[in-house]
Amino acid sequence: MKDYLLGVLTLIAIWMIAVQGYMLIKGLAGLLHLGHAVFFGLGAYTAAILSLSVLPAGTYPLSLFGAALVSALGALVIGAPALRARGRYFMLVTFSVQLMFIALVSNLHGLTGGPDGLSRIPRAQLGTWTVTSPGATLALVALITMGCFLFCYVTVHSPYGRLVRAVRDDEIATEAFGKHPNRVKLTIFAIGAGVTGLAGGVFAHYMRYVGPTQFSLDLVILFLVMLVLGGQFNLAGVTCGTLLVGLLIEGLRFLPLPHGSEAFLHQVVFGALLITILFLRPDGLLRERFPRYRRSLNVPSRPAAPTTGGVPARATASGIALRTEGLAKQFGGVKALDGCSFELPTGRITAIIGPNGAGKTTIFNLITGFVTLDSGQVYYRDEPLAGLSPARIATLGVARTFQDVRIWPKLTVIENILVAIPRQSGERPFRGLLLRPQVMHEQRRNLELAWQLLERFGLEHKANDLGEALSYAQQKMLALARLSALDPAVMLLDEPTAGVDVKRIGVFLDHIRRFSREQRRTVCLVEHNMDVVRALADHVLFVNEGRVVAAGNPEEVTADADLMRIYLGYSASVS
Amino acid sequence: MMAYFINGLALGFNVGLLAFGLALIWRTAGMIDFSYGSVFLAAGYAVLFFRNVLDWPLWIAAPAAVLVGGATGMALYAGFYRHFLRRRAPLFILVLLSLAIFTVTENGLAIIFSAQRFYFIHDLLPGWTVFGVRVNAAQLSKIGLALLVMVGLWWYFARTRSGSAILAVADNRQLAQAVGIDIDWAYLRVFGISGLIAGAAAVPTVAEIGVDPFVGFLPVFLALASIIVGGLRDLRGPLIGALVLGQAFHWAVWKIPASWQELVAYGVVIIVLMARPEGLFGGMQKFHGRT
Repeated sequence: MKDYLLGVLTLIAIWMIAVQGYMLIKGLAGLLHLGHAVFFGLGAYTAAILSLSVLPAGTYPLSLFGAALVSALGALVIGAPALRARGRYFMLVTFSVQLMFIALVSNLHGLTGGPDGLSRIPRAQLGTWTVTSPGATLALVALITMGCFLFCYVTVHSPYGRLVRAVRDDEIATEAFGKHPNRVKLTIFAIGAGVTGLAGGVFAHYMRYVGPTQFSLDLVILFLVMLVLGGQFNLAGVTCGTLLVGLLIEGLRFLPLPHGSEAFLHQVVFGALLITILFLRPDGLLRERFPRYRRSLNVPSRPAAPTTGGVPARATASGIALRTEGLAKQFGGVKALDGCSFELPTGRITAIIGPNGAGKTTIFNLITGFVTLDSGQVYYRDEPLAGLSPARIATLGVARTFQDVRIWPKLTVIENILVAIPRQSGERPFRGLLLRPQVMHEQRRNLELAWQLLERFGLEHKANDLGEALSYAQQKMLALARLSALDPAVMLLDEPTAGVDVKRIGVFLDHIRRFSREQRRTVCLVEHNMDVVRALADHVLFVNEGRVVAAGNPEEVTADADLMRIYLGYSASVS
Repeated sequence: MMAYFINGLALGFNVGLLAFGLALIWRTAGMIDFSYGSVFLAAGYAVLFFRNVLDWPLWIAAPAAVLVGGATGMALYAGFYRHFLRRRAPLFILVLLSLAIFTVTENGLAIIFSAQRFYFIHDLLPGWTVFGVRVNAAQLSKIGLALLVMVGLWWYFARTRSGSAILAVADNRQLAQAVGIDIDWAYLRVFGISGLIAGAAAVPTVAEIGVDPFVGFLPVFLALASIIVGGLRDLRGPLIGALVLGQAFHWAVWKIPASWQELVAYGVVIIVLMARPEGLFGGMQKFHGRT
C-alpha cells in the first residue's frame, strides 16, 4: 500500500514537470497549443530508444537530456512554419500534429515498436547505482521536479519571461521596440517542449514501457485539465492543479464500476471538471501574479545610464536626421500616399497636419517598416531604411508611438518601461538562469533607469499597476515614457495628445519639448490640435491626398485660410 | 480503381456536409466546434434507438434522428456556448469547452452502452452496379443529401430574411446588434441548422458502418480539415476541400498500407495549414477577429 502511494506521487511529480512546460507555452506565451502529449511522447520515446539501444547503462541523465533535446527540436520543426500562422491555425496545426504523432508511432514499427510499444526500458541508473526502491525513485523524481520548477520560475521572472509576456499581449508593439516576436515565440515553444520532453524521459524510465496509447488525445485532455484547474498563468497554480487532478484520479478508484470502464469514467470526469472550471473560474484557482517592484533606498551612487546617452553623435553634418523621397503606397484602389517627400531636421520638432485620411499615419507606418513601400525611399542619416524589419529600424534609432497607444495591458507600468529598454542581455533565453553578476548588474541598472523615467513622467505611484488599469491619458503618458526608455534618435509621435484632458496637455507639451530641446532628439508628430502644433512645432508639413502640399513655420501654415479650409474639409467658416 | 473513386466521392460528400455545419458555426460564432461530434453521435444513437428499440420504420426514424441532431445543437448552444459567447470568451476557452463536451459525450456513451458497435441494418445495404462498381443506398444518399443541403443553404442565406440576419451577425456582430438583429436567436438558429446538418450526415453513415461512441471523431476532424483545405469564402470551398480529402483518403490505400490512411489526412491538413493558412481557395483571412 505504501509503495503504491509512493508510485502515485511519483507519477504526479512527473506530470507536474510536463504541465509546467505547458504553462510556459500556453500561460506565459499565450500560444494556443493543443498537442502537448506530442512533446511528452517524443521525450518518452527518445529516452526509451536511447537507453535501450544507444547509450550504455548507467547514463540516466544523458538519456533525459536527449529526451529534452529531441522534444525541443521537435517544437522548432513544428513551430518554425506554424507560428507564423495566427491563433486558431496554430491550434489546428498542433492538434493535427497530435493526431499524426499517434498514427506515426503506431506505424514506425522498427523504431517505436508500433502498437506494442517498447518495453523493458531500464530503470533510472546512475553509474552502477540503480534506483529500485519506490521511495528512492520518488525522491529522485521529486528532485528533478523541483529543479524544473526552479528553471521555469527563473525563466518566468527573467527579462526574457517578461518579453514573452509582452509578445503575448501585443506582438506589433514589441516589434516597434526592436524585439523579434517570432523568435521569442519559437524559443519559448521549444523551451516548454524541452521541459515536457524531460518529463517524458523520466516517465519512460519510471514506467519502463512506452506505447502509443499513453500519449493520445486523452493525455492532452488530462494536461489541459491540470493546466486550467490550477490557473494557467501561474506556475505554482499549475503545479497545485496537477496535484489535485492526480489525487482525484486516485479517488475515482474507490467508485464501484463495471470492469473496463475506468478509462471512460476518467475522461468523463476530466471533461466535466474542465467544463465546470470554465464556467466558474476560467482563469483557474490561482490568478496570474505580477512582480512587484519597490525602489531600493540605497540608490547606486553612480547615476544610471543617462537617457540622453550618445546624443551628440545624433547630429549629422547635414543637419537632416531623416529624409523621405517619393513615398507611395496604394491600398486596394486607394492611393494612401502618392509621392510624399520631406525632411526632418535634426533636433527639431516637425508637425505633420492634414485632413483625416490624408495619409499621415501611413507615413509613420512606412518609415518604421510596418507597411512595405510601393516605391520611394526613406533615408536615416543617409542610410536607406526601406525593406528593413520594424525591429531593425527601431534598433537603429527611428521609433514611434501608436495612435491607439498599444501599451502592454497585462504588464505592469514599470514592466512596460523595462521591456522597452534596448540591448538587454537577460532578454535572451537562458541568460537569466545563471544569475551572472553582469546580467544582475545590468538588471539593477535598468530598474533604476525605469524608476527615473516613471518619476520624470509622473507615473511613479502607478509603477505596480497593470497597464490596462491606467486612464487613457496615463496610458498616453506611459507611451511617451516607454519610447524614452528605447532612447531613439528620431521619435515619431502619432497624435500624442489626442483624447487628453485640456488641463493636462501642458505636461505632455513639456515632455515633448524636452525630447527636442534638452535631449536633441528629432521629433515628428502627427497632430490635430492646432494649439499643440503652434506651441510645439518648429516646422509644419501639410499633407493632403498623399503628398506634402505646403510646408513652413506653424504660424504661416495655420494662418493660411486655403489650407485650413482643406483641413476642415471645406467647411464654411475658418476662424 | 473505380471503387476508390466512388468510395472517396461518397466520403467526400458526407464530410462536405459536416463541413457546411462546422463552417456555419465557425463563421458566425467564430469558434472551432469539436462538440459537433457530440451532435453527430446524438443523431447516430437516436436513429439506432428509433429503429431497434421503438421499431419505427426507417422513413420516420431517419428524419426523427435528424431532428434530434438539430435539437442537440440548440441544446448545446443554450446550455453551454451562450454563456461564453455573451461574455466574449477567448477562442481557447471556447475550443476547450467544445473539446470537453465531445470527450464527455464519447466516454459517457461508452460507459452507458459499452464501446461495442451497433447496427440498425444488419443485411447488405441495397445497391446498384454502375460501371462495374457497386454503389449502395447509403453512398447515394450521402451524395444526394450533400447537394440538397447545399442548395437549401444557398436558398436560405440568399433568399430569406432569417438567413441574411445570420449572415449579418457573421459579418459584424456589433453592427448587426445595432440594427436590431436578435443575436441570441441568430446563434440559436445557427446551432440548430448545423445540428440538422450533422444529423443528415450521421444517419447514412450509421446505416453503412454502424455506430459506436468513437465513430464521430474522424468525420468531424475531416470536416474541419476540409474547411482548412477549401477555405471559407463560400459554401463551395469546404465542399471542394472535402472532395479532395475524400479522394486522398481512399486513394491512399491503393499504394500504401491501410494503417497509414489517417496519416495522409493529417499530413494534408498540416501541409495546407503551414503553406496556405488562408485555405487553398482563400476566404479565411476575414476571420482573424477572435484569437
